[in-house]
Amino acid sequence: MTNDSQKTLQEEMRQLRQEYHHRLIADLNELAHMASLDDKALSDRDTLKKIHQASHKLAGSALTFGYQETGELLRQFEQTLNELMENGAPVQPGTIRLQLQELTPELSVPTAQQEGHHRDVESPEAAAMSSDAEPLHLYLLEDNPSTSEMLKVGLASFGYRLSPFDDINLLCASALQEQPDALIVGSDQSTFSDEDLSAAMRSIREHGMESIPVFVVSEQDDFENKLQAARNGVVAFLSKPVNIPSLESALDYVLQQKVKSPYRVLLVDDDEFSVQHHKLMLEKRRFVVRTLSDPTQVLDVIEDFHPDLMIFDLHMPTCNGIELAEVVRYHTHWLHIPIIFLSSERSESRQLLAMMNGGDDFIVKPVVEDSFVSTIRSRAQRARQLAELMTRDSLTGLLKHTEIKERLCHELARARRNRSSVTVAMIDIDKFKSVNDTYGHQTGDVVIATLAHLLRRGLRTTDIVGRYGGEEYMVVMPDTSAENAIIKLNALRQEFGTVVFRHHNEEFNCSFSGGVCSSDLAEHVDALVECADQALYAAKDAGRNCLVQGKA
Amino acid sequence: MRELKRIAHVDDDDSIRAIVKIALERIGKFELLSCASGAEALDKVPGFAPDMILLDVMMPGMDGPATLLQLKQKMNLEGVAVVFMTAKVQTAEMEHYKKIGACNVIIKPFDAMQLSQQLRSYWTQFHDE
Repeated sequence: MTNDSQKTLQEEMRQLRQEYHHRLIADLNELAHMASLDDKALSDRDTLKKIHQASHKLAGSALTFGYQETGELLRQFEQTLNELMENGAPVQPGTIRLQLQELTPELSVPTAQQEGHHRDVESPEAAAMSSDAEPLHLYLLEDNPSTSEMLKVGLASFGYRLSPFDDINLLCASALQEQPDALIVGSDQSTFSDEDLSAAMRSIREHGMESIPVFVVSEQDDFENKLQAARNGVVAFLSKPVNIPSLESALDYVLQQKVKSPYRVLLVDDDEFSVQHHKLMLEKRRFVVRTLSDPTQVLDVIEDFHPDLMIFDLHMPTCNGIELAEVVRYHTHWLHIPIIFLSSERSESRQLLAMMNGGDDFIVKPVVEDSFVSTIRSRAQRARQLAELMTRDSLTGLLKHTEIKERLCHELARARRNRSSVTVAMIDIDKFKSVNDTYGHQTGDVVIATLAHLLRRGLRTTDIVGRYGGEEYMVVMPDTSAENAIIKLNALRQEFGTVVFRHHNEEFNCSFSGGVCSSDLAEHVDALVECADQALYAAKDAGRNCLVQGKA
Repeated sequence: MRELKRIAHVDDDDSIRAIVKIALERIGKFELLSCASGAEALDKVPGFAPDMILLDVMMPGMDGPATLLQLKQKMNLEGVAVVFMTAKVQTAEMEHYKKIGACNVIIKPFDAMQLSQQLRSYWTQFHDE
């Protein structure tokens, strides 16, 4: 094609896009206008069918013209309607109206070209946020004063600052002064009906809190309510009476998510150009990417790189992507890592074949940048969640026994290679049995989770903390001498001693003892753990609430 | 195998027809017949004698599959490749379309720059099978 005709082609495309932009706005307007229909009209199957067809059409064209966000929104809406019409369930006109209204803000759609510029939402500053930050500030919307008080006191022991409100308007006004890190909404039969939750969420979003995660604690924990919450963008749903440790771990999970380390992607492709192209797309969005052009090296690279997700090109000379996936899948401890195939193969049946053989998804080249990145991100996120569920203790969020031991082996091997030392501490809550006997297991769980939280927050991100047994913890501190470990842990021991636990109207404190041993004294894993364990016994014998250094 | 030259496109969406027109006429250098409804297609497609028919699935009145059934009554579709275009992605539906005579399905959104190439590869596949 000559330059001139190329130019006019581009000109034609540009004009077409412009025309489409106007049409999209007009069509969206028309759809949004349907929100003003009354309930009866919105429950009418014929009206719904019309809305469905209109949004289906618009979704297809909006995406084709590069209006990613609008297109996805329309597509979701279309799917909701589709399900409604297919299963003949009773129509909730309120929900439909709400979704129609959501289409309105999209009226100021940027053009497809502009859209590309402000897509990167994650700032490096957010990623660099350290764990020693200010206590996290939470807003609570709850009209039951005793629930408010219980949450305030309970979360305070985990280092959260909670401001309770019993009125949504007051809360929103206050948010204009100071934005909270998260919002907890107590949704009771008396406080909120379904519609009210939506209304509350709307005013929350309208008051500049659209990016703040919202948690719901509710007495009604049936499916319908959870669905309502999900549709309103609620990040976690907990049942009343609230279990403070599980609320804390949900908070911790979501808020930590913001500062979690970037997802790691392994790209295996022999085509140099294609590899660089995809690597760049991912790196722009803060992924850590390792590339590999020789598939035969894959096992070593996985071992070394610990990817959250792998992308294999389907056609490579030495072995194809499907064969490679089969080889990787022989290793059951990597089963949780998703494998995505990349290929220009468009045939449905070949794609299905690829999926059956160890793959999780299939992406057709050339990839659409936005959907490529979002597919990779959501797959990686889910995989990491699953991996964490598998390796982490549900009460404390710490690593489980087997996992922490494995990590210790890993760190020991590394210390040997680097000629550095790693220190292990065994920590045990003093007289924990009497806490359980006196105040009950639920209160005991709060104590266990509190110490877990303290250790995680107080130590470096490179330190590894695990729940070794009931009230016993193991801490692995790389590049640390036993002396330095004791200094750090002593500070935490003193801090733990000041935490006030409550059971009904009684208040009490707890303490812990610890035994510390460094790899200078014992090289083998079992010997090292044994040494720390002996030191822990010595600390208990010495009267508890202290730390003892192990001897060879 | 003869060359893919004449394509009939049926879609009620003006914007999609416009972008397909650019994609197939300007980029792909095909001869294109563009129809805005199933009825218009029944009227014009038999006389146009296309090598390939590109049919939108969801259209008001006569939808894509219905249009295809009616076309079969009016003309001999042997050697004509039928490709559906839809925004839906369910495998079961895909199978259904193939059963009623489609050789492939394009899922919206599609890449206008790639569309011609995509249709050419479907054309080759159609003749291989």
